Amino acid sequence: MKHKILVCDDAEFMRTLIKDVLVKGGYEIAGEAVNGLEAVEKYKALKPDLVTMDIVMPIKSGIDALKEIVAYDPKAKVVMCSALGQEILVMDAIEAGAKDFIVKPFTEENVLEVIGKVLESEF
Amino acid sequence: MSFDIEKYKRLFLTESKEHLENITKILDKSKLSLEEEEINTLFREAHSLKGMAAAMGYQHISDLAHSMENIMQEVRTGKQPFDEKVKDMLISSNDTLWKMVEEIEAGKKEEVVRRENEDDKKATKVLQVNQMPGEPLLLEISFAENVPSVFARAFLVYKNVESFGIINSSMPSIDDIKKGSLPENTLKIELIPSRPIDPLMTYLSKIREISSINCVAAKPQELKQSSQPYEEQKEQKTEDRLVLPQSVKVDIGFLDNFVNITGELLTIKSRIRETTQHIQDIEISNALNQMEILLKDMQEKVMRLRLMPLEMIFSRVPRWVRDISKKLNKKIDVEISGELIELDRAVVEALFDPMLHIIRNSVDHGIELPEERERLGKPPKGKIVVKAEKERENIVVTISDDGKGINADRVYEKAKKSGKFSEEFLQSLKTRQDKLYLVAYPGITTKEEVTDLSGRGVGLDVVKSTIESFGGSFSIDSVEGEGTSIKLTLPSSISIVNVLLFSLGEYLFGTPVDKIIRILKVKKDEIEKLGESSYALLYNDEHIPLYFLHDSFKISKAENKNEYSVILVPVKGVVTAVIVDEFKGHKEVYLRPLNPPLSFVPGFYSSTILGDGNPAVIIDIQGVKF
Repeated sequence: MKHKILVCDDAEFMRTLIKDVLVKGGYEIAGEAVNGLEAVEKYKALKPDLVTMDIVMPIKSGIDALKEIVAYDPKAKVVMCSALGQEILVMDAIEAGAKDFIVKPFTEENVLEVIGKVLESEF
Repeated sequence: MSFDIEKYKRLFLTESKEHLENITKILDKSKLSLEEEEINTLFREAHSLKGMAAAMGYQHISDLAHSMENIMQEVRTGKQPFDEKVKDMLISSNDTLWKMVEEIEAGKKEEVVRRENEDDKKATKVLQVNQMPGEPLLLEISFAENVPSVFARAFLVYKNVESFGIINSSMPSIDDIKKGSLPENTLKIELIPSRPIDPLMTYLSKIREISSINCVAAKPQELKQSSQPYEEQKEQKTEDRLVLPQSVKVDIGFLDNFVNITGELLTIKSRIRETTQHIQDIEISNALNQMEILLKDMQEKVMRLRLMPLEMIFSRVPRWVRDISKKLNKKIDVEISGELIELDRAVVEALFDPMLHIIRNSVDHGIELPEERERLGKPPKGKIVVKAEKERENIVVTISDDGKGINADRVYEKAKKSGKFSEEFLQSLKTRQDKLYLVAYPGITTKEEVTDLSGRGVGLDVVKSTIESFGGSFSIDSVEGEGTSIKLTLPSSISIVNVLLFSLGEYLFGTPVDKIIRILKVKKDEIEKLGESSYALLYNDEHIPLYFLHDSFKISKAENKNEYSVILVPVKGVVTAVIVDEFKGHKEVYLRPLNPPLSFVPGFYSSTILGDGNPAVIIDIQGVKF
């Protein structure tokens, strides 16, 4: 059974990129969110196996959304997408419960590797 | 405030020493096994100590007492035998607690004590894990060269290792990793595993960024960094030492200089990053990351130096109220809370006049004379409540009174009569709060005469614009006959803001992201023209007002585009769409104050310099004149 992934990023361009890579890698797209608020709502509604979350988003930041999702579901697997230079935010996210992170610009290989690792691991 | 702490401190010291004395008495006995009564006593004493210390804010004493209490709980319930090791642990913890209490007595701040006692807490924690099988391991993890965001990667690895047991120590420490330090790209961790580590090793081996992993059994305390055995520390204390003052006085100008320099450094770092972006060199990127981490740390610390408690203003309020109410023969009680909350000094300074004006208004126009109040069935003494609360990233200051309130409809009528507002705008004000908000416009006063005390110079409109100039907001609610409440929402840190950048013509602007509902592109046919220059947008089955931001600033706009970039923001409670030219991404920017004449433009509240050296004006859309 294919794993379902929720893609959260406020830039359509990024969402499209990530979705294409995921579909190619054999994953199913559970849904998309364009801001932190939607990310939390959709997580609760769709219950995906994994979430890719952009760190900086309007209305609610990726980190705030992450915190809410983890509070709602402590087993949630969230992977943060950051740009170069957001290292502090990445560490904040990890402390808040993010399982891993990918740095933009990313390669297909990199994305699939991280997603695979996170879905497989038990912690 | 500080007087009270002193009184309780004496009590705390006396009582905590009693508890520690009782614990010492039991532990001093040379026998190894304890009576049930003695075990319970140890538990109780640790428990009481924990509570008292927590109440006084001595977190570390409380934590250590808590660890002791936990161990005693295990012993009490039979899960842990009271053996030599437990006894040694308790004796050592007790000694440490004594030291901590003595240091508080000597006036030494609690924080300083922490480093010296970290080992105790760690050791106590180890015991609580019930000595799972697995000797301590020394993990040596080396990261490959040129790993992007290598510190975050190391941080993640550290966290994952931590989930497998207790980390006794690591080189570099977690704090150092956060600060951007990873000497020789290697992370050494001393781990006491609480469960089998095979899954951990499998996980680590899959991480591409790790070039090598080494795992050997370690002798405990192998990575001890700087702590000394307790005997040595005890000796140091009894020697006569030169004690230098623990704080320095700094001139404000000097501090402001510091703030400016750090801000400039951050801007320059961004510029370096932007200009070297195309080179895509990981070394440069990592170096810049490190710089950013350090600069942000420095900036945060410097900004913290600028914090001042609201008490500076709040402490004046009772006097203001007393002086004015005496002149007017009114009787008023004042209630203050949240005065210890701190804000940047610039904000506190700027709040002074607005608060004075609001309080004056309350006393002068708000609270009725005692006879009037009695007639209305109100208590003869009026009440003014000044409250400050933290609300997520903001500090909310509320000033409320139980006076005669403001009639929202009368304000509305006055505004209508003044002819200053368009019919449309007036129609859009639906709720009582919407209408009351009109008092914050210049010239709208419902009091016929301007009294000597208020209504002079500083009007509510100035209050509103002052608050907004810091990215704060102003709101007012009132029920005629019951009272008025003014709420000032202030950002707790004023200098760094996440803004959405966009262009209008050839100019670059920004607006804070947290006020934006969403951004979107709309097609020409989704926009309806309602009149000369008024438009509406169909959004979520509702028509919402749409404006060209260009019009407010007299920047020429391109009409008849097929697609427009739109920002949705709430303006006075109404979701409003604002058209701009192009979105240019979002950035965290350092705000610079805007000087006249630009600062007079409605909606212009700050400026910033971007990484490429170009300036951008930061706009508060809610302040713009449409």
